[in-house]
Amino acid sequence: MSDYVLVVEDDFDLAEVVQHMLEHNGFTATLAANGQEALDAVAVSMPSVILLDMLMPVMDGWEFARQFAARHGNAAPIVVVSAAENALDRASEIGATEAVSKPFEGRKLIETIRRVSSVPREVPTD
Amino acid sequence: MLGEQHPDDLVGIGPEEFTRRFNLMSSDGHLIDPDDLISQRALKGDEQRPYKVVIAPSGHPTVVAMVTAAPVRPLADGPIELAVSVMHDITAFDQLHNAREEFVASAAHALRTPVAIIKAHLHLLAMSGIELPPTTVQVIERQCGKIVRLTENLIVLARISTDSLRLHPQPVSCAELVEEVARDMKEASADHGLINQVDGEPMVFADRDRLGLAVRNLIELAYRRSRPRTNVTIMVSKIEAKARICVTYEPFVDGEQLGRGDGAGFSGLGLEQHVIESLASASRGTLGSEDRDRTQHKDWLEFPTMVELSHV
Repeated sequence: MSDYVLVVEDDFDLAEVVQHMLEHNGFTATLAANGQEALDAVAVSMPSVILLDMLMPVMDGWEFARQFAARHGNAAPIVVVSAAENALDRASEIGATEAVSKPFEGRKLIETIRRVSSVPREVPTD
Repeated sequence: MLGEQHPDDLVGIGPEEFTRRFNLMSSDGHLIDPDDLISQRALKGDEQRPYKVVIAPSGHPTVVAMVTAAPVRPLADGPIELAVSVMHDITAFDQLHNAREEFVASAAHALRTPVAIIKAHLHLLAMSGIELPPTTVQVIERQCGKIVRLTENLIVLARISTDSLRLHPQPVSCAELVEEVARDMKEASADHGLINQVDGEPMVFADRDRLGLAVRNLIELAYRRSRPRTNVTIMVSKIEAKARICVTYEPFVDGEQLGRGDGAGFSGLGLEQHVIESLASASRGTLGSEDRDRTQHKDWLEFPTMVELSHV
């Protein structure tokens, strides 16, 4: 399992600083500005973790999670990163592994990613 | 206005037919039981508290109404022979109120992303080993913390005000929660220390995030209302079958604080206090306070422990 994280976030400033944070902690990170870009990215290379914002233009987090599950099962854990007061609700709505509320502690975000990325996943063979 | 002379005769139709035909719902979307109609309660001589009702007759626009009722006795000591109900159409007011509260909640949400970016940059600098003056880091963390608490309080207030606050109760260790909150709030005041004491490890059944917000608010108010350069103590204890989270501080003494002196002046909106009271009451808790010799003030939250709840 690689240490490749896909950051799905429409706010470029936030996405970029999270990318720097991840790279500083030994991960590689790719950015996607919405659910459609994220689906394109996972088709090229499956990340070890997907950080997913929920409210995004073009394709939101719910639709991304639905299409991702339909195409790839649970090939990668999803961590919902949300500014909503009910981030945990949103995570459970889409069957995500974890939820992190904005604003987050950088150290805790990295710990969460390390924890979920270390859990073996069932990758579909077809 | 409806006049009703018999429990089974409401404007010519029975209460069951009335609720069915007009699809009467409470503001949280539950169908109103015909026996709970205010006119029915008035006829029985029960207490009649005004309530908001949503009337959604099929094929017609939905109306929100405030309903009141009163029993009528032709003779002072005689039986109730009539009930008068008044339905006041508050649809426009209700829509405006909800729109305003939704705007407040949305604005509060929108503030969280910029704060997340500022904090993330700060954490990135720390991870990169770039040393900033400690006070700079503390000030940024402190001010970001204030904005986040303000947004959380505004969101809760908006939800309370529109009856849409949803709590997610779960078993919560008060000691663990308070330790976490104390860690966050230690640097929240430049002028006070925070001491965390544990005298028991009660478990309560509560919404962890909301309880955390209530405790943060207690500490924030204690910082604001206490003398400069003094400590605030937060203590968890178990008193009989109750879990108590108590904040103790040295309040201002006469002449030390000019103005209203109750802290409301610069607590701005009284937001924290209102949110603490509302969250406590929504979680079967109570808020208490005590002044000892005017040199020590205590505010506490008390909740039934899970052991006590299991006997209810």
